[in-house]
Amino acid sequence: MRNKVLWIAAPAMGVYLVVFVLPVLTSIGISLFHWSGYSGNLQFVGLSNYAHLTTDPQVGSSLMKNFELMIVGGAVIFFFSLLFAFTVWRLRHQSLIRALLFFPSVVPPIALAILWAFLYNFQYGLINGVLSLFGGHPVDWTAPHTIFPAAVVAIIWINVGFYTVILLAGISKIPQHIIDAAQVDGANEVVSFARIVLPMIRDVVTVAVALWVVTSVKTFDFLFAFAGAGQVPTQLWTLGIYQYILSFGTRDLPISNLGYAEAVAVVMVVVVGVGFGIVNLVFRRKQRVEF
Amino acid sequence: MSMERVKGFVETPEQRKVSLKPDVVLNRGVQGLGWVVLVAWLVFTIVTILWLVASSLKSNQQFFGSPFKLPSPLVPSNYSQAWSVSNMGDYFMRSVGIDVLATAVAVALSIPAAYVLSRSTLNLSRWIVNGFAVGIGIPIQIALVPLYVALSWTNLVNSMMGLGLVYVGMTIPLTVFLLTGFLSTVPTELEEAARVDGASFMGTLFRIIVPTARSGIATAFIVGIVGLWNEFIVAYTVLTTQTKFTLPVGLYSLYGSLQYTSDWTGLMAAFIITTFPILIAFAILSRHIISGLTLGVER
Repeated sequence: MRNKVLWIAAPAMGVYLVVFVLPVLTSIGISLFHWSGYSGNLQFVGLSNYAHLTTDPQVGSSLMKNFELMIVGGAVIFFFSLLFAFTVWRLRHQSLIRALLFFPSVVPPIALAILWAFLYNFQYGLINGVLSLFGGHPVDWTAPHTIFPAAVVAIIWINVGFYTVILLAGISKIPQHIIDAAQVDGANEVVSFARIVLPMIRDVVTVAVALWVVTSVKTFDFLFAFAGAGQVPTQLWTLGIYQYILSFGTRDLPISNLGYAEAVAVVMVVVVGVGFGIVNLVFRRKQRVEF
Repeated sequence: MSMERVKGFVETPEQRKVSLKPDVVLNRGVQGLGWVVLVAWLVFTIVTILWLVASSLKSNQQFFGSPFKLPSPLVPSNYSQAWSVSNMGDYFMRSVGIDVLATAVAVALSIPAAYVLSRSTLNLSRWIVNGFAVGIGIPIQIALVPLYVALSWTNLVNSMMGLGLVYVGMTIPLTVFLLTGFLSTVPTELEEAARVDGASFMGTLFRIIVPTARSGIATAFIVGIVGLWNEFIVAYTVLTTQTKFTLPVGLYSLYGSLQYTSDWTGLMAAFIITTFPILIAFAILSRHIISGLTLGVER
């Protein structure tokens, strides 16, 4: 009935197309060119930027960092989220706990990076302070070989609340009589959570995992600022950081070929897409279930 | 078990074995583990917040001398210093202005779009909604080089106008997606009655849809502002002079000057100035914020 007035959506679509869709498509186009970025001189090189990806060791090592964050970080995030959701889902007053868990999701990632840099600080940081309280020796958490795991731990802390809240939101929609029925049948808390609750929120879990796939690839600000303003050590170069550095350069690494930067950008989109596909394959129900 | 004990039955070894069945042990174990980890997690979070607030009220000598003691005397001047000398007040006002304006424009454009998209039965409109949803999933940094070039062609680099334009475009996918989801749950009887009474499309939109969708619109607006308040990468790329910085970029630049000033406690005050408004908003509006940021999973 309202189909005739679909043009009403045109202004929103127009802005979205001009400011988002068109630039993304242009980026994909640029990835087929060699472009120094300093002139309007673009040289068509076909897929040679993509061929270069396979010989660039930084791409492989950045990809590994993305996968570590996505898979290892994600596994830990969902372990804690499920554990916390299991622990509080029966409580009547969950809102304070949920708010305390969730609040890092609304704090600017730049601020969180500064906060965690403080926490990890060798001399004055809270973590080493607590360690020495228990007679431990201070640890240099942001040394080159530990800085990426240290960042992943912080990113886990930032995200657990978000996914706990999503899971709890899904659980709150399960009709109470189903839970009661399981209890009458003698199912204990773990059994009813694993056998009743989790299968019933399968769609919510799918959305949550898909969101994490996107978030893990999008994570940029935190890593960009974690090691201090001005420089990002290569240990933190995920695809996102590498792509930004290739696009806008640093003092040590000025831009040389924006086509190649956009080829790396396309890899990021492919990682999100493939991740989405896998999540769908693994988690999709065979049939829709209504309840 | 315990009931039997109350009734005076003596436990036989068989019954004792029943009580220690693996699933009972597992159940107790997981519940205990859950509480221990959750409490530890919350304690860590609270201690971190208190440490941060305490540090922001110390002089740097106090902080370096005893980083884990309470501040005495209190040094509230860290805040006034951060606000005026470190320009946080300037960044703050600019962030408020551009974020509110850009979100308002994005929501204003999204309401009619979401309305027709949620009511349309065409396949095309489903594709359009999916097209907006894709925009939520793609990292904005992929669009950044062409955006930067386009902004420099139009002389909009390092301008609030240019940044605001990008912010509107970045926010629209989220607000359209949220509002479409919200409006598709609003029953159509009222608007059909209005149409029978001869209301125009615009009349229906403003008199019926906007009032009934107030809470959805509020969610979209708040989530839009939260997103832009925290936005860094576009502002960092587009804004080149300090007099144009938004809060996150200003905080980052202050963080960069730390190596020259060593003013840690001042930075912590700046940190709190940056995060405080969003935490207050969160305390008051957590239902909207959570429902919006979880893309309506919680509604």
